[in-house]
Parts: sequence; structure tokens; C-alpha cells
Amino acid sequence: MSFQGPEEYDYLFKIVLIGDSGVGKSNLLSRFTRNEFNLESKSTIGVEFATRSIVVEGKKLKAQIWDTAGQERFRAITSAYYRGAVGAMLVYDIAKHATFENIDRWLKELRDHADDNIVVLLVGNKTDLRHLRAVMSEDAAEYADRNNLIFIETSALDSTNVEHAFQQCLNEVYKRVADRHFSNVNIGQTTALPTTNLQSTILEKKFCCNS
Amino acid sequence: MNHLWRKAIADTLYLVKINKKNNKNNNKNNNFDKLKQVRPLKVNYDEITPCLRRVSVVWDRMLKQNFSSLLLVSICYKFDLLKCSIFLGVPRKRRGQIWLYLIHQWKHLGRHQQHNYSDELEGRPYREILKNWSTHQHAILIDLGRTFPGHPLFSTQLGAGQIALFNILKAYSLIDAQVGYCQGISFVAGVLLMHAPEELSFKLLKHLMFDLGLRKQYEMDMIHLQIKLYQLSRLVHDLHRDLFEHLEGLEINPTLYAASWFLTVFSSQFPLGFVARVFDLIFLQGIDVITKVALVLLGNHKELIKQCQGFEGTVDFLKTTLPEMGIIQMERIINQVFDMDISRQLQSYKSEYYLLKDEMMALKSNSSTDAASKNVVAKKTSTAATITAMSSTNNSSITITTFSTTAEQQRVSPSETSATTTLAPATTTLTSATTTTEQQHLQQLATYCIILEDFLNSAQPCLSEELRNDLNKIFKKKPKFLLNQ
Repeated sequence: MSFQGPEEYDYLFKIVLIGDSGVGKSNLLSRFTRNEFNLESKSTIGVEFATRSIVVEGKKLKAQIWDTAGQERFRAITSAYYRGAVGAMLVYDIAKHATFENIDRWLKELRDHADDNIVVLLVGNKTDLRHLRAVMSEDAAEYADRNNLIFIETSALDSTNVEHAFQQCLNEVYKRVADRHFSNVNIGQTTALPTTNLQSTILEKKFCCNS
Repeated sequence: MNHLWRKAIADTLYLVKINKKNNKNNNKNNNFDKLKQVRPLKVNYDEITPCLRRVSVVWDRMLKQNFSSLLLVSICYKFDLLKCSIFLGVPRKRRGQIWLYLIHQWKHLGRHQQHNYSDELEGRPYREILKNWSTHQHAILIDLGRTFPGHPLFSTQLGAGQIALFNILKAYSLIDAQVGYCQGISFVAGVLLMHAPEELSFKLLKHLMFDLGLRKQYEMDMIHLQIKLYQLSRLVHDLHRDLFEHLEGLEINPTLYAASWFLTVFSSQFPLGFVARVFDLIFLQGIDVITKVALVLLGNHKELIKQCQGFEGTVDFLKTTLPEMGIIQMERIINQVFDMDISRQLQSYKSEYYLLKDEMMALKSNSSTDAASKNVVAKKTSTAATITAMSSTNNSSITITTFSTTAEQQRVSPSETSATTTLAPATTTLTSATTTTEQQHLQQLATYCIILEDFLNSAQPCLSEELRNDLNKIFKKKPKFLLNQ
């Protein structure tokens, strides 16, 4: 992948995966982008991303999906990555109720840092753990309804609905882009990835002064 | 309610299992805390700078002796010997033991600090600490199977390795309430457990975190991690301007690729042989080593990095291809880091970070009124002047202190000053030896020096030219301790 030339696409969409530690964000990402699931995956420390292109209504959409560490304190370094995101997947583990309870906090995090028009999906992952289900689909669907989220349940392990979830997210983003909902986001540029955290702002400023 | 009960029961069952296994292990090794019992664990990685037999002999002799009663002056003298031996290689099977040995040396160098452990548990034995309940247990459990999942020590669910990992992480979260458990620590603890048994690994972890100051980057606000990332950017800017501009142009900042380098000390991505070598250097010189390794790593690969296509290609290279570099590359990086001193730059960039952060806050809050914004402009000009001054002079730390507050200066802890600065001329060591015990110790030392000198003489022809050059560069002339023989 490293030495490929610039690929052709009509739109570049940045999607972020958020949710508590251990709900399966990294495996959702690898299932969608590489069709892989790894039972022995490592904890995500910091930020990772991967891409995959799909075609919607004859347009080639390149999805750049960002995966961040789930532990709360990492938000101090990852909050900048919400900027420029046009889609978000709020992931919880259907076998761990606490991860569903925290969705409220993740939603607030999004409202604070992301574009107002961002497409948000509520994703209940690990449906393969049927016998351990702790979050009822109806409860989650009702929550999603109340908060204007698209709701879907997935299993990265047996790949149920993973493709569908991302497709749905990208379709919705495309629809909103076509309707010109996103005014502040640079869509369709190769480097539509703002890094406006303190660090880069500082550097920018300093080196302007310096020269 | 149902699910809460289910969760509580599942968690309890899990913990009961861990407890049972712990009790079993306890009965097996009751007098655990003895250096003699350090046994080699799972250390089957490819070594960077494999330790030659002659160097092993020196290590053997050193580890057998107790240096604790040596006076400080003599230790300065010994530091050279240690540095030389580590440079020449550390036998991987005795690595844990050598790290513990380095802790003792560190403590005798007089840099022992007051710790801020949680009061009640301070000084309690490890097994006592473990009897307590930690609020971080759940977070630790989640990461147990996700820390070195491919390594034989940790691959079995609730196997000996995972239990030991759980225990030391839990014990650590109990003695450091401010940090508790942060993702990344499990990898550091995992590396230690590969080299030393549980209780000694805990001792090593405590040393890394408290004495050497690694814990700061894991604090809730992660401000110290951000400082480190900023320092790295600044250093790349100073030393590899072309690379800096390339990365800036693509909007790639170190948060994206280097956060895990710092938080896991390279261990989540790089080969263990390389990681072990970084740990050797940290125990010898302190945690600035991590920044140095990151800097050299980027600098040595800058041409390749600049060839990468676009944002994705470049990040992919930094995250995936860099850790796959060859053994010779890795050895070169370690050797370059050995004699690098960036403590002065690190200090001024840290102050600079605070200064600029304060200024950013001021900009945000004051921009409403005209008078206030004039004030900000004035402040901004002074900052610009400072920065220009800093980048044009080598005495940057002097310039910056006039602008930073006392509080900022206090933040720079003594542990961050480079170990090499404490070196006193070794010649004074011999003449100042007055007491008989000290003379005895010096005699022992002399023996090691002879062994080492013998090694150097006999091995010189076998060493590669590059290694010989590196050795010469490190000691500039013949090592001090050899001059006295």
C-alpha cells in the first residue's frame, strides 16, 4: 500500500469509530477494510486508520476509517480527530451493559467536537454472543430513535451486518453531501484531515514567527 | 437488573479464578524476593548486539558482587564500566537481573526521590498490596488477552503470564491512585515479566514509573505525553528540517504515529530484541532515551519516509514498515542513542510548550476586548523573540528561563537530567580511597577492569570497524577506568 500512486475517487469520507475499550472497534475496522477478524488483536494505543472504497450511485467513495483507543483519558489526545469527520459509529458490546450506558458520554463527546451534521450510527457489536446478551435490541433501538441515530447490530466475528453498517453510514453521508449539508468540511480532497490540536497549532504559529 | 447481576457474577467468578491460581503460586514460591532466584523466562527473541562470551564473563562477575557499600565517588568510576558493558551487549537470559542491578546503581548515584505512592499502601509488601480491591480491575481484565497476544507467556487465557500481568497491574493501580491503570502500561509490564518473575517485575515497574518518571505520561490529562510529542516535533524540526517540512505538508504530526512509541516504549509494534535494548538504555540513562530513539529512528529513515506517497502511504510506512527494519539498522540506532545528549533541548522545549499553551489560552479568553488583544499581541511578539533567540543559540535553556514561571521550572524534576553529567574524573577515585573496605571494593573493581581490558584487547581485532569507531566515540579516548590500571 505504501508506494501506490494516488488513487482515483470522487469523494473521501472520514469516519470515526468510538466507544468503550474492548467493544470490538478495531475488529469492525479490519472486517470491513480487509475482511479479517483477529481473536488475538492488541489493544489500540493511540490512533489507527484504514481505508476502503465503495461505489454509491456511480460515484466512487473512499472511506477513511479512524479507530481510537477507548479508554477515557485518551480523549485528551484523540479529540482533534473528530474534526473533518462526516460519519461516526458509536460502538457498544451487546454482552456488556456498561458499554451501552456509556453511549451517552460518547454522544456528548461527538456533539462537542464533531460537525453538527455528522451521520451517527449506533452499533451493537458482538451479536455472536447470543447467550450473553445484556442489552436488548428494543432498548437500543428506542435510544437511537430518541437521539436521531441509525441503529444496527453487528458481529465482526461472523461478519453479520458489518458490510451493511458501513454501507448505510456511507450512503447517508453521501446523501447529506449531495444535499450540501456539510459546509465546513473539505470533502473530496486527499488531505481532508485536519490536525488542529494544540500541538500543530503551536508549531504552525511558531514557525511563522520564526522565519 | 438481571444483566447487572450476571455481570457481577461473571466478574466475581473471574476474580475468584485468579485468586485461586495466585494462592497456588504463593505456596510454590514463598521466599520469592531473592536475586538468586531470578530465573530466565521466555526470552527467545533475536538479540540486537548479541552478548559475546567475554562480556558475559564481566557481567557474571559484576552481578555476583554486592557494591552497595561503595562510596559515591567510586560509583562514578563504576558507571563507565557499566556503560561500556551495556554497550557491548547484555545477555538476554540475565537481562532482568541486570536491570535490577542497574536500579541499585541508580539508587547509589544519589538520585533517590520521595515517591508519591498512595499513602496507606506505601512500603507494604507486594502480596499485602494485592489483597486490596482496585477500581481498575475491570479495565485491566479487558487488556489481559490483548497484551502480546502472540507471545507464549501471555497467549493462554488466565495462564501464568496473564495472571502475573493482572497482579502487577492491579498492584500498581493501587499504589498510584493518580495514574491507576492506563492502556500502554500493560505492554511495559509485559516486557518486564518476560525477563523477571512477578514480584521483581513489579519492583522494576515501580522504578520506571516513579524514580525515572515514566508515570507522568499516563496521567489523566496526558499533558506529559503531549509535551513529549511536542519535543519530538521540535527536535525533528531542528535536526531534520526537510523531514519536518515533508510531514507538516502532509499534516502528519507525532500524535498519529508516536503516541504508542511512548506509551508502550515501542513494544506494541517493534521486535522484542530492539525493545529490550531500549529498556537497557532506559535503566542506564533514564526515560529521555525514548525520545532519542524516536528521533534517531525518524532521522535514519528520512529519505525513505520522504519517498512515501501521500498521507496514507507515509503513515502506513511509519506504523508498519519502520518496525520491520533489519537488525543492523536497529543496532545502529541503539549505538547512536548511547552517546546522545538532548537534555538541554528537552528542557527548553518543555518550558516552551507551557509558555505557548498559556498563550493559546490567553488568546482564546482575551480576544473579546481590544485592550486585551493588544496585550496579547505584545505578548506574542515577546514569544516570537524568545523562540528566535532559542533556535539561534545553543544556550537555549538560559534564554527560556527568563520567560518561564517558577512553577514551570519546578516541573523539571532532577531525574530528567542526564546521568552522564554526574560523572566525576575517575582519577580522584583512587586517591580518595582511605578506608579499608573501600580499598577492598576498589580492588574488586580493578579486577573487573582487568577482565574488561583483557576483553577489549583480545576482542578489538574481532570487532567490526563500525563498532570500534562507536566505542571510541563514546569514550573519546581510552575508557577512564582503564587508564588507572
